[in-house]
Amino acid sequence: MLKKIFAILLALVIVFPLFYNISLSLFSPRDFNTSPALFFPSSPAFENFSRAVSHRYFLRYTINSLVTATLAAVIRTLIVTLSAYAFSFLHFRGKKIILFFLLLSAFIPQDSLLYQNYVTVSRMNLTNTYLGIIITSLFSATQLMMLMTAMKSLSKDTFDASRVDGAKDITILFHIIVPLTKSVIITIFLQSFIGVFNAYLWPLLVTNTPDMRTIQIGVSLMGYQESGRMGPLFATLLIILIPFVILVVATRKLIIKALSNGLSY
Amino acid sequence: MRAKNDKRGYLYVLPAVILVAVFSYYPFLKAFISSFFLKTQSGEFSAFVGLDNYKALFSNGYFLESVNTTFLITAIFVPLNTFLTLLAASFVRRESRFNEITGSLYIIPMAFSMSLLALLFKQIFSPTNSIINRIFGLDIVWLNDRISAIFAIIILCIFLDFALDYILLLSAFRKIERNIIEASLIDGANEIQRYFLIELPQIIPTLIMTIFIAVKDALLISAPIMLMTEGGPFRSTESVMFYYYIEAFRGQNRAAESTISTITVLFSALLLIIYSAVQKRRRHA
Repeated sequence: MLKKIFAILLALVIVFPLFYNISLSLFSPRDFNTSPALFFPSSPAFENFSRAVSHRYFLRYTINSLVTATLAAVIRTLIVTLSAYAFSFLHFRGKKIILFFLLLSAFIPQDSLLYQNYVTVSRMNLTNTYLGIIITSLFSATQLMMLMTAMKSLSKDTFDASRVDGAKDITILFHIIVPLTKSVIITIFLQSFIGVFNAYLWPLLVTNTPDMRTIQIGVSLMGYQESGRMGPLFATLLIILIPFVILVVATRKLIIKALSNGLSY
Repeated sequence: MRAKNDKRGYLYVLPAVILVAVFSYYPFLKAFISSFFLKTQSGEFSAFVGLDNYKALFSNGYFLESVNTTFLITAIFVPLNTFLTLLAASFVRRESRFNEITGSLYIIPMAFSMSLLALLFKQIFSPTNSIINRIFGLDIVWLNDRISAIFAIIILCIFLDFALDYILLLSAFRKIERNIIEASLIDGANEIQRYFLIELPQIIPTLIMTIFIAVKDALLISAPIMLMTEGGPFRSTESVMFYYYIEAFRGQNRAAESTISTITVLFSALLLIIYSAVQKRRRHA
């Protein structure tokens, strides 16, 4: 019983930011200045939401985020799947060395190389482009490992891929192997999508025109904090947040299963 | 007959190889080599200076302060985060209706991205009217001094890592073979004995993994600080990676940029090596 009470208390703490965000999104300008701070709005200011949605860049930022996250997730899943297939089912000279070269990159944190990568991307003239925003997120060594583990568990003689020619690879891969490793591939896709959708530092560096900003950076640049109109800011936050809350709660079983099987540091 | 060399294999791994070469190895090697040279503003090498750039870095007061701040954050964040996530997973480790509902609340922080949560926490820890002060009856001007700012940053970091660590620990608990637990029931072990003697030892590998993830996240922290405090007040909450960001992009400080890149990459590699050594030793023990 005592355990249940503590479990609920902890849950209240964990859910508090979400609750408070909902509350703040309905605060009037006066509610923000009331001291001591309020838990609930004095009267719900629903106009915060219409202000948020009608901001001239709201739609643009959101579209930029959705487009870059989708593009990155599709390309990354494809690149990871193709290389996992090659390493698991094909035989070619230097395979082990190439695999080692790829996996060793997990030791190199991207955050430590922000400046050098920024220089490379601006030399390629990719600043302020979708490709520039996603180009450093198109491969992940940990995901390659995840998928190779899943493919290894498939029986090897069933698809001795080395017996077929290139054209048939694609058939085998997409008709037999992908369906059998579906849950890992979906996880890789979702992880990549969320990772790029939520990215902050890199898109901040490689974009500087309002047209190309993503929503994560955009919310701080909409001028709400400067003008003190905080209600629409938190309404914007909530609009972005709600789909993810639904996604996380609805797919929690899949997330738990995938993470418990696949994640390796 | 098995073909000896499937040349198309190279084609399938080529995109990954190019990406890793261009955006991981090349920038690291460039930073590593640059760290031993003086460079002009336009980025050309001008003179080999050996370890002078490193010496300059380690005699810079702001850098040393940032090292200090990073270690302070790590030292508080890692144990606190480990304790809370372990507590959450332990509470709901058995399958029941109550645990199912409570457990799904524990993963809600996963829905927040870092930048949204940081903006929200800036309001929660507002210097003028913080809801934290109202809840706990405090009178703190948050974010206005080093200690309260660092505390707020640590709480933010806990919310950022909580859901993932909780899920990893929960699935570790649920993967324990049922017959191990049942055997302990026959032996007459009570709930507390069973938890500490039977279940906890089984999840140690996962616990070690979450601890290492937390250490790595804390040592490389930068964006949450950028959004919450911008390194202030008076540059007192700058972390190493925040200092790197400021020097590289605002200060155009090539020496600091290349040396910090090199040090942090080597440091994280070292951390991973220690991690795999620890896990390997446990397996053989």
